[in-house]
Amino acid sequence: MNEEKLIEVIADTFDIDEEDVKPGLDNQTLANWDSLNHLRLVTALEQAFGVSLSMDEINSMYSYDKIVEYVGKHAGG
Amino acid sequence: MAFLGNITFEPLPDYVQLAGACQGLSVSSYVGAYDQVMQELMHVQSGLRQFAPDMLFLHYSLRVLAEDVVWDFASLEAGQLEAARQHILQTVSQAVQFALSNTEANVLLSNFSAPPYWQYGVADQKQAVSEAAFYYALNQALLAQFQDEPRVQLLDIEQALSDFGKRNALDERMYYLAKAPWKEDFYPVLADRVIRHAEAFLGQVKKCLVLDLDNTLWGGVLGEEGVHGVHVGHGDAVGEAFYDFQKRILALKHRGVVLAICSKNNIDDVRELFTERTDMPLQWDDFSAHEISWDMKHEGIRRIAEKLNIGLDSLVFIDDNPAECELIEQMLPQVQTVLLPPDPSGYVRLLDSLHGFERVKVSQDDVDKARQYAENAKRAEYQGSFSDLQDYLCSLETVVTIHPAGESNKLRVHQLFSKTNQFNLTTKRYSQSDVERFIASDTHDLYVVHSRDRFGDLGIIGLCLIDMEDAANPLIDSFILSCRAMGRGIESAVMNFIKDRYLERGSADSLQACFIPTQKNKPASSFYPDQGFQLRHQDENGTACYQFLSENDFRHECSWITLNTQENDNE
Repeated sequence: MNEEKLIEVIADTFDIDEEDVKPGLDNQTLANWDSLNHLRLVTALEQAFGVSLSMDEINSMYSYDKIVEYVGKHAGG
Repeated sequence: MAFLGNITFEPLPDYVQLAGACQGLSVSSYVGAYDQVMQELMHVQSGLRQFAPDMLFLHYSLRVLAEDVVWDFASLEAGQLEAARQHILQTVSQAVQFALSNTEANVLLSNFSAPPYWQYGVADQKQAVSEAAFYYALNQALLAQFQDEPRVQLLDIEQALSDFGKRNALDERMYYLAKAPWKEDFYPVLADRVIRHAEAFLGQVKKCLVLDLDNTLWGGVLGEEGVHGVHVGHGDAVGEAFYDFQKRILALKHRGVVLAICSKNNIDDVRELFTERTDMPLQWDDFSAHEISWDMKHEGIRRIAEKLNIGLDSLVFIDDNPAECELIEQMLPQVQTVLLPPDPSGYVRLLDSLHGFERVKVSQDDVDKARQYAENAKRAEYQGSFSDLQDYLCSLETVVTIHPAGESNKLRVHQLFSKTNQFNLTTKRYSQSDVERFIASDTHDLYVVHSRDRFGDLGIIGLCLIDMEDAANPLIDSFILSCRAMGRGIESAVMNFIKDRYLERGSADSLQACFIPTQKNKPASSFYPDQGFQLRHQDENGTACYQFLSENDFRHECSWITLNTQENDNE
């Protein structure tokens, strides 16, 4: 999985700097990571990586580390 | 635009904004709280009422509104289904009624999409109450209910979904997660439809379709392949595609779009083709203007606009040749230029994708328009046979009828407000609900002007709105005459009627009037001075205010016009 692309998608969705997208980032630390932007993120990730996430994964994917784990699982690497 | 309903609308508003921008519309949006339609509509302080939308998109998902119909259809009795049907229709029509009375918005209401599989499976068609029939009847009932309500349009989401494919458009996962029913790819499709309705409501429409001939109306080059060699008609694949494209163009004519030809060809060849090929759907007389020569096409298109007396921005030009399209885009950027796809099988789809020909409703007046433009051409020929203008005007036997606006003509009135550019003294673009307010108002008189002559019926060609707030000094708020009725003194006949009506039969002291200049209404700029009005003041933007005192007996002579007036709307 291309982590640079992942960072770019996350930064784009939340309108933040790419250098702020790093391990530890989650919806507690980022104010505009609300449910609506979360779904925009899911759509953007699925389009960028050509993957399809499950509802369980989507519901527990509110951190950078989980995103790397789940998207990585489907996209490989 | 406001979005109300029992689904999550995001990201539709963003896509609507984008689709609007593509058509030159700037859209700002308000999304109502989830499943709070009545609260948003009824509370004066609600977000929706504060936002005061021009257009309201109302979408109900049956998964929330009638869960039993969606999941338990097979186990419901006929009586329960009837009750569910009534519940759905009552909820929707109540919301629409409140939207109409509590907001100024035009309402765009989604119909209901049927599920992709029936609960009885293939046996559904043999059931006493079929699920397929239930959805069909539901949508039929919506159509019937709002057919005569000009401020309500149905958004045919069933058609949008079937065109795109339900399995490509519906997103079960996003529905469970967020009550968002559609996949990302479907939103642009839906947004495009929403904007089509917005343009129709706004009256932002094109009037004339200008067509090339070779490889546009038929396959091949007439000059090379001859009258019977070009491809159009049944028998070969390419010919059938062109035949269907002609049929689709003819359908636009029936919608009130004026057709014209602009082609580089020998006119005698083209004449011969139309005489010989009576098997073609489009015939010579279907076109109101024919520019067939070896001149540059932008000159021909300019002459078409002049002949039909419409602005260049009312024209759409279609050609298969990229160089010609490029030329028109360069020389006449006001004209919408459309390049046909390489293969004629895609022509119909391309024509359907254009927005400019959408209308809220096709009135008889629209349908008559092409005929009227042709009649105008005959009038012009006829005029050539007179040396004296007044002899000509007398011979036209023009009859003008003025009567108050009412139910039967309010659509046409809105059309005149929204579309007339040239002879429009103030260019105030009143909405459909404004028109209804004026018709009902005690402090406004709204008159429509109807005309006919020896060549035919011109329909409703003008209007006049009088503001009676100050009854002693009525204000001519709007004075509009359609360009196809200009140049024969009808405007003077209408003004004489107003002067007589308010200053002689009424007891007003004066008439007040304003001229607000725009880029297009130059032809009307000297109207009030010509009618004997005195200039009172003029501001730096050129807006001029006039008055006409009751003792002034100036009336333009227009003895060649027979004037009928009705004080009540008898229709």
